[in-house]
Amino acid sequence: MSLPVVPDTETILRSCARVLQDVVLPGLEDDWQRFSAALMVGSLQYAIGVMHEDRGAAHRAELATAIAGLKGDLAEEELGAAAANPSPFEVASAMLVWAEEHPGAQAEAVRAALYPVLYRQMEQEAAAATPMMEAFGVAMRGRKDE
Amino acid sequence: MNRDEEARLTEYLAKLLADGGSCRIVARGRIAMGQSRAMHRLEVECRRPGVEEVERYRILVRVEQWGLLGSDSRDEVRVMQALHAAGFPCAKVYAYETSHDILGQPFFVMEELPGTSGPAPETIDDYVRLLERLHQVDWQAAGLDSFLAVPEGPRGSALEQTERWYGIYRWGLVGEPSPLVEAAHAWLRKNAPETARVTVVHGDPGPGNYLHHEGRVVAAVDWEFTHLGDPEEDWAYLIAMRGAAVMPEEDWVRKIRAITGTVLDAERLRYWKCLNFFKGICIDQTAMKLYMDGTNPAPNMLAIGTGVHLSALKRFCDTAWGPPEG
Repeated sequence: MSLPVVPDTETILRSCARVLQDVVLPGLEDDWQRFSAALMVGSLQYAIGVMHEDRGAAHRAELATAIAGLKGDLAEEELGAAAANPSPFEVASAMLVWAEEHPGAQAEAVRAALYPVLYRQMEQEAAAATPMMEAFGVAMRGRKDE
Repeated sequence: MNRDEEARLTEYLAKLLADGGSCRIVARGRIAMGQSRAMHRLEVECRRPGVEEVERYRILVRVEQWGLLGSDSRDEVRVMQALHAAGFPCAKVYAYETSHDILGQPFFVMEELPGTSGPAPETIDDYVRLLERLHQVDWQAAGLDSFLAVPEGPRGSALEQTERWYGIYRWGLVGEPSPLVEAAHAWLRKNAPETARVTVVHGDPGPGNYLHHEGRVVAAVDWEFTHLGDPEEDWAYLIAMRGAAVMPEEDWVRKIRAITGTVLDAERLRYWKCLNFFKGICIDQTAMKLYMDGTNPAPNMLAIGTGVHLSALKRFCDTAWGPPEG
């Protein structure tokens, strides 16, 4: 018979991270191997975070909502073909570039609507990458020649 | 470096260092710091044909990484050779191999200079003098303008760098663009300042990118981003990037003025800091591409393409526009 319970992905990834951290890493002496193993622990933790929540979809939906609130203010005539692009990231890009190039009240309205959303998403993604950044920071404080 | 690559490299070194005799790699290690190239430190023993005496070399082999961080070795090698010939302290390049036959990527071999690149506050003043000396190099006499682009027009230094890195960003794009990066590009184009003087610009200066020995600076390293442009770009990079942990911006500005006489205007400095953050944003994007298309599965690619990239983007946003209100 097949396994009644198939091990779940998160348990497997967490176990790999623990073994890398506790068993493999302490035995490595080569700088590059240690650096890579430490980053792999961070990568596995990052992957578990991605598995828990589809942040990409959430960001996309949130941005689409912010853009919908602006569509009346910034018409196709300003954005050209970008206005019809189905990607909110493409549309938001066109809107923010337009705002940079056309200072004024309308540009401020665009920025006020989009910038806080994008800034918050950026911070959220940066926080998700923290486990890797910690390992990376340790290596970058190392030396090129020792 | 796998065994086959090491065997081919050993053969290559025998031709390069021992006139076709024999070489043996007696110690090896890959340096973890520095991401754009794989850096292998080797100790090599060589015998020339018919000669009993063993010659020992300590060398660095710097291997390209499929375009990671948006630079190749060609200009890096030419810059190093030109500056070395002009008497500027940088490592001697023994050879540049452009084929993919030996290590799978182009690489070059250079001497390993004595010293370390670790933190050494007592060498900072010496390093500031060295960077100023680089900015004073007669780049025409050194022949650098024979292969590096000379910025055109008063705003050329800023605009050409902006477009260079934006092009790299677009090359590295995976899927849709980041609206904040696109806006950053527009901001840099709109606010590009005029340049008073075109000099050699190191492009990645500061602690970690120079060697020191017994309290003295020995050489500058990492020439892959070197170009002709505005020296304020280098000062901004030193202050905001590699030197940020050493002392606050105002202390750097005072020190640079005291040592070199260079007066850094706050608004221009803000622009050049933003340009350097933008450079970071764009070159980090290349890691995401190489990771996502399977070219390079190393976990540092993922870290650079996500966390490092976002860290630079946040610094750009905070410097150019500030955090959102509320």
